[in-house]
Amino acid sequence: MNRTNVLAALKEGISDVFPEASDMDISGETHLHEIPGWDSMAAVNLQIYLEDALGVAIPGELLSGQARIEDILEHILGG
Amino acid sequence: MTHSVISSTGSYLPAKEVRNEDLDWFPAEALSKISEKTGVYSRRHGAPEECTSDLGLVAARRCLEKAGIAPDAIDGIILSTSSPDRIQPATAARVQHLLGARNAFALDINSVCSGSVFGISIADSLIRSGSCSKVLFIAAEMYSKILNTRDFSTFPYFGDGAGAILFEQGKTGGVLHSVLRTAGEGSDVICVPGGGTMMPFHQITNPRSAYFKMDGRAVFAFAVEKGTEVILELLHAARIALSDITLFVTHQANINIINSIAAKLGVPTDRFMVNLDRYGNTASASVPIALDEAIGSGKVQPGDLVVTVAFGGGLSWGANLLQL
Repeated sequence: MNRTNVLAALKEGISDVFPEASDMDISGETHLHEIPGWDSMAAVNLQIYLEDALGVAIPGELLSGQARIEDILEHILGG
Repeated sequence: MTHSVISSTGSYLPAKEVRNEDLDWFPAEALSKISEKTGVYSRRHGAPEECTSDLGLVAARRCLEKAGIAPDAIDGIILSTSSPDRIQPATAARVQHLLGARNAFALDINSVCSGSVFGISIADSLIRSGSCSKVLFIAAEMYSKILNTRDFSTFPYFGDGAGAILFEQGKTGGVLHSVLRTAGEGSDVICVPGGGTMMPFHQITNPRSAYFKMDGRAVFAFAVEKGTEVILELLHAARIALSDITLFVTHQANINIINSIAAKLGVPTDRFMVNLDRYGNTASASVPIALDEAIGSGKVQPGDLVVTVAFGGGLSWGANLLQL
């Protein structure tokens, strides 16, 4: 897995789980709570999507509203 | 002046109980969030062969049996549902047939979770106008069949169930006042995007569009604000004090919404009916189910003042002041 691929998968997951965010410009600095439709229950859907797509368990604390996309990227890439 | 009096109520919750821990296809560590964020510990799911009209039928029969009224004495059936048997015809039509209410007209209304407060008001209007002497209001929902089972933001919230209220002409009491409101600019906040004329099935590109969805944060804020506001508006119009209300029967959406409304009103939470812990959010059926439980358990007595209040997709919200 490289950063480009993982970021693409993350963006695809966000677009799938939060359709209103499909046109959103997502970067590493985007906080989860900025995603339209995000809440703590919907965040579990993103967790499920990423675990299914990438085979990596995402801990719950990385899906809090204050977490950044970069934090999730670093976890998946093992950083 | 004619009043629409509540002669009896009924309800039906399917037998199958689905507890939070039974939702084991979701991450185990997420399951505790369900009760924490919603107050739901368990919900009921109808059998695969059951449909919405089947649930409504049982609630209706129980209601009429309690009142000792024969189905063919009913003038009209109003059925609230946002999870109908089919897009058409009205789910109420099948209930009318199976109930044997051969003299009743039957129609559906859909104001999503606020359907019951709207339906109670419409039933009241039909009785007060003199066009009907007996109106059976039913609310029946099977959200288990319109939810994405893998959507943690919706599936754990909801349950299946039905409630019924029989209204008859009377001289006092009954429905004293209703307030109904809609803000259509919020029509995307709670919806099933696909399957209608806006997005026919063959035009659905994201499978999630075929299922119920809601913006949780927006819904919470809306429900607390408007739920509180409409109670105050109702009681102000009726010149009744909060302290005169024996029980508040709110839509059973989320315990944190109910507790927030109670706090904003300054009313102790023990004057709010709660059964969402056992049945989940049964959409428009939640108010008549809760009302039936409150009456059956003795939480309210004849002569008591009750406020029913609901809020939901539309966005719509409303409240009724009832004297039992």
